[in-house]
Amino acid sequence: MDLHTKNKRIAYVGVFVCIALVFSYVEVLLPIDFGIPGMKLGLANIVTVIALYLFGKKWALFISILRVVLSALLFTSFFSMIYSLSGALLSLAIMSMFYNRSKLSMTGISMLGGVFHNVGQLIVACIIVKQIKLSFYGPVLILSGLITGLIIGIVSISVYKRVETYVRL
Amino acid sequence: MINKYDFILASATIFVALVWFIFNIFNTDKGNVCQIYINNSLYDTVVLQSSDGIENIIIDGEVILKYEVKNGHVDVIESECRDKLCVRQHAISRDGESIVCLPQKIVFMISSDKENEFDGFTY
Repeated sequence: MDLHTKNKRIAYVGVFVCIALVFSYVEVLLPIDFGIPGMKLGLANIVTVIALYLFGKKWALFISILRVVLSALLFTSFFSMIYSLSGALLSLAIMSMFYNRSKLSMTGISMLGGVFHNVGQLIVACIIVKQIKLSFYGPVLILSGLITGLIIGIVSISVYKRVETYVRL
Repeated sequence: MINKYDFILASATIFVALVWFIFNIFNTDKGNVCQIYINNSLYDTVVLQSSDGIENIIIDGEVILKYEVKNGHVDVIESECRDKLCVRQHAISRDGESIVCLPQKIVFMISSDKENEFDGFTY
């Protein structure tokens, strides 16, 4: 791998992490509220999904972890970081397994990611507060993960199609 | 943008969610007790039918959270945490429902102590 490509990649990763951070910040500003713990739009996942298809799973993982840690340090707290990190990691793990091996479109992968993001957060919440009864929220979190995944997926495909030819290493 | 395999995935997921939801509905009931845990240890137990009113949770002399009990529901109305997610969560009343404040590690959990009820006793 030549130096030029390496530098290009570093630059792209930096830009992607910044965009993801902006998405995280904007999401907190939006007055959209669902009243249930763990339910949110997950706009920063647009960056994760696109990075997965453009750069592969290793770099998508790197961008994802950087984004979660930085946005937790900047905007929220250590506790919500554990919570976010578990959702993001599980979601990315599932997406990486299937993104180039199944017939699902980017939207489908994103829906899968959305569902498992919420499931991961729910599992960690159950562990932290030591109450299995929290799984009462399972169904509604799965559904909202599906719907937000759908929206994120459609936006991701739209952006990816337009950026694909330019963001090449 | 969307193909038929996405639809299959979505339908299967909705089905799983529905089944789980129905399972939950049949397995739970309106709870009659709300247990409040701080840092995973039981802080207080509130009997829902007979404790209407607004209560404060006080740690080290400071009010860190306010909650209200009304009509068998528990709702968090004020909190000292940064993101106030707990305040935004809706009022809970069913067995198994909960309100969680992660930064302050406060958990409101509805449960029912059906096992403790007895119809009568004789000597």
